[in-house]
Amino acid sequence: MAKSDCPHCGLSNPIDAQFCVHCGTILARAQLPSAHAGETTDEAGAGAADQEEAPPPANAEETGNHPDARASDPTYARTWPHSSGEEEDGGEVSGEGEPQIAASQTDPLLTDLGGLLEPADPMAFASSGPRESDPSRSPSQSLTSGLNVSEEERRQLRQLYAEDLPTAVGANPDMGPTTAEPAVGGSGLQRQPWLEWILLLGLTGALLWGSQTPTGGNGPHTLPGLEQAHQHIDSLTPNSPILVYWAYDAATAGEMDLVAQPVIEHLLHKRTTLIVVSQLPGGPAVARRVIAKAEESVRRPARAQVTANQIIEGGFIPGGAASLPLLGVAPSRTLPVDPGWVELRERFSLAGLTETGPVLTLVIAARAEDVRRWLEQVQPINDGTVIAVTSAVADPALRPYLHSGQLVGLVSGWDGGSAYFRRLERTRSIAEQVRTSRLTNGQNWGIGILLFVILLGNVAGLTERRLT
Amino acid sequence: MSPFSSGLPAAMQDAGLVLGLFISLTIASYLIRDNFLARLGQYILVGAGLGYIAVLAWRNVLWPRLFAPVISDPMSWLTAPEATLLKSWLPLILGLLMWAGGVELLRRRPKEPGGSQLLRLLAVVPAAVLVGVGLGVGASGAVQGTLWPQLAAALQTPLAAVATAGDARPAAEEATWLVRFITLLITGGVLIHLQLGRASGASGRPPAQRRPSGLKDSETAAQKHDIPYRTLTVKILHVWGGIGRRALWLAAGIVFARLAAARFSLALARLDYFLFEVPRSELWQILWAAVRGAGS
Amino acid sequence: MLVISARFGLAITPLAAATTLYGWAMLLGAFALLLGIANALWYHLVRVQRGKGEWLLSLLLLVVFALVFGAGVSSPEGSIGPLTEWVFDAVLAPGQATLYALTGFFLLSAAYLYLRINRPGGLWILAGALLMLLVQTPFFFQFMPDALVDLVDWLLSWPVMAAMRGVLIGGALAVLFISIRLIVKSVK
Repeated sequence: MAKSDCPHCGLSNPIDAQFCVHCGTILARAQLPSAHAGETTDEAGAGAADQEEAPPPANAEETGNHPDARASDPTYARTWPHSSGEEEDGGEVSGEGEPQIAASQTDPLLTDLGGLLEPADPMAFASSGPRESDPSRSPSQSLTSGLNVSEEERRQLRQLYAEDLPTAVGANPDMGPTTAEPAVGGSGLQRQPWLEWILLLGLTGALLWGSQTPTGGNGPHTLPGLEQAHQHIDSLTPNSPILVYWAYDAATAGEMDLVAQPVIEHLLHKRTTLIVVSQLPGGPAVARRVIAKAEESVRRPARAQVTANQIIEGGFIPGGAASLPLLGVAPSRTLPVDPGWVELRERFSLAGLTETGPVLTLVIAARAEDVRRWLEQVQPINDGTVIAVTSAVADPALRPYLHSGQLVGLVSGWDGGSAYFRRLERTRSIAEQVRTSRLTNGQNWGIGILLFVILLGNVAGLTERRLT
Repeated sequence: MSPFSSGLPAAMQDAGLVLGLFISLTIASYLIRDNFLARLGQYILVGAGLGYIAVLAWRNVLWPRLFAPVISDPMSWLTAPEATLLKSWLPLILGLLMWAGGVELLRRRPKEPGGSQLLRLLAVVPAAVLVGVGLGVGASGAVQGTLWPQLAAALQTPLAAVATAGDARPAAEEATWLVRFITLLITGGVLIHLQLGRASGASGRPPAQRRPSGLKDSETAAQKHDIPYRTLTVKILHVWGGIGRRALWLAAGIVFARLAAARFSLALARLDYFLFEVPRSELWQILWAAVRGAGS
Repeated sequence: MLVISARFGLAITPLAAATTLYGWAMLLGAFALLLGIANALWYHLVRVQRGKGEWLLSLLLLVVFALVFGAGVSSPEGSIGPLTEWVFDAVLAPGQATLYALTGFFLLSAAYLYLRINRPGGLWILAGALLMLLVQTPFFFQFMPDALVDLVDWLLSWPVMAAMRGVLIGGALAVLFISIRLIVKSVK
């Protein structure tokens, strides 16, 4: 295979490489044959105009005019939802005169309010199809948009992205074996469909036959922090006002319901008054459903009275971190002032939240960020006691807060939920038991497959290394 | 379907089940490959999501908190006390300005001539309020909620009143001096690595491919100027940063394991929906009985 | 500056001023939300008008939006009305859950490619991941010696906690300096 040496680090690269795969230096300007100049399109030219404000050398035109120039353009922002393949084609450009870049200019607010319009898009990391061969769709590149950096910094950024961040499938379709070696050149996250199918079949089998097979031992391990959470809730007196900050929605309900429900059941069993607020649009709806399930579960074995007064729905509070301190300073200010909502205001007042503040705050969040936000914006104001109920992935990031005493307890992940339920010493219904057994078996199989895949990946990596 | 929509006719319940299954299947078809159906599902989801958020923002926030009280007494601004003006009228005016400016921006791009410059200028006021409050709470929250308590806990200073909430006993108090030292060492190491260290890949590559790190630059400079104490300091920082980097790697491994548990839970919950929840529904039972009847 | 001085208890700012600002932020947040939705709808409207690629899907998005918004606004109960709850149960909950469930499958590809011992820091990452995976999974946990379980608890409670604390402090410092820089810049 033909190779060329990098002028910066001196190492070999494939002849058609745009950047040095070792250090990220632009090779294109030295290597691009003049033939590329004939392949110009208006669109590419427009992309090139935005690219590389700082260092255009004498032959920058050739670099910019290369059809792939847009691919290396860090300022080429990606909008969501994805536009179609034709939209990006040169053919469409001539017809409409509005390439993709123009489309993004049509909507100045689209990027400004991007947080609203760009949900966490798992597809972005692993989309397939011919369109996605454009590395400009890589999420990593959107990070660089708007940055005004020097050539050296750009080079470093390119190298960093080339190595560490996942890119779309087929982002480097022409990469030779040298560059495709992950440890050296970084091939980005390329989906391995066969692995996904193995996992799909494994999990399906585990669910189908999970209720008949033993799940193993006495359930999952109890991580530090759970015991303290249980003890603290167990010591609550009836009618204590508990503020519940509901920071997850339907997207993560599959995991979070498993951990939130036992804790809510415990609170209902202790006959505390729950005041539920959320900053996610889907939060209140999910909260209603989980609390209804928990009420049903609490009523069933003990025939306990769970009155409607125990749950007060504060609702949706927009404004993000900027409005969150309101819950610490004046919780009643978050309520509507319309006469139609008087009843809610009265119940809020009855709960004693306006005078004394909550006895305990339960932050139920899928992300560590939401717990941190509460601890930064509300806890310093009301000095409240906080227990976090979170997704498994948020657990390590919240350990420092548990250690410093800002959190008095931490329950995380499906394993945390399962362990918490064991602490409640209550019996589940048959249907619940069967479902729990299925899900535990699914976890066993999923992690088993993951371990196998890690082993396989290492063997493949070591073999590739030996061969090269 | 949840009991919250049970007030609707049975046909709607069935339709909801079918629609939910359809959208789930179309989106899940992305596993096979990116296809039209997957996009269809995503567009329906986004459309419904935008509609739902709009309803929530209007019916639960703006109408009962702002518009309803103002509309019920439109002339209240003449007689209302200062507090009411501050709570209702002023945010209403700011919000309307934001909308007007936003619509103006939608109609014409920022660089396009024409349009009402006044509207655009006035729309900056509510945006500035929002950004200003955000920056203010961000900075003060970072200090009060993270920086101060975490530094206090890292240094194991007796700042219980600040660092702990309620009657909680921080775990820091239970640690032996060795563990405390290790903790401090690692926290310091991570900070040094984040501030001075290079990207994590340095030690895993052959020496020829390494680029000089920030620390190594300083080291070379120190050696050049032949200042022994500075060289020593840089070396210590280098070793300390290395400890921090390794602790970060270890933490990354643990985070990955927890991530796997979290994501597998989501996948399992969805598969459980396809395999057990849908077949348990009445509609499915009827359809299944009909299919079996036709088969026999 | 008002917010910061109120938060730090400086006498120059009455607490009520900061509270009013928080209330404004909540209301302005709702205004901004609706404006953002209007922008997204405008984007799709333009696509439909120009007949650009996938305009049919954009049209569908607009129709679905109109139906959901109409149902929610016309219902006397608003967002807790049966129709809105039906939309949540039938479209939003299953759609969002499925979309996020896909990430579980993509995770496997990442593990295959990146959790390798010959990558930078691979040994440490792999060690942390394997230990945690074994302890948190019931099937493997039953075979784990107590010492190993205690080790994982210790790692989680001390070294990993310390590392994450470093990240938190670093992040908080960054937020602080960026905020101050932006505030000072805007004041200038």
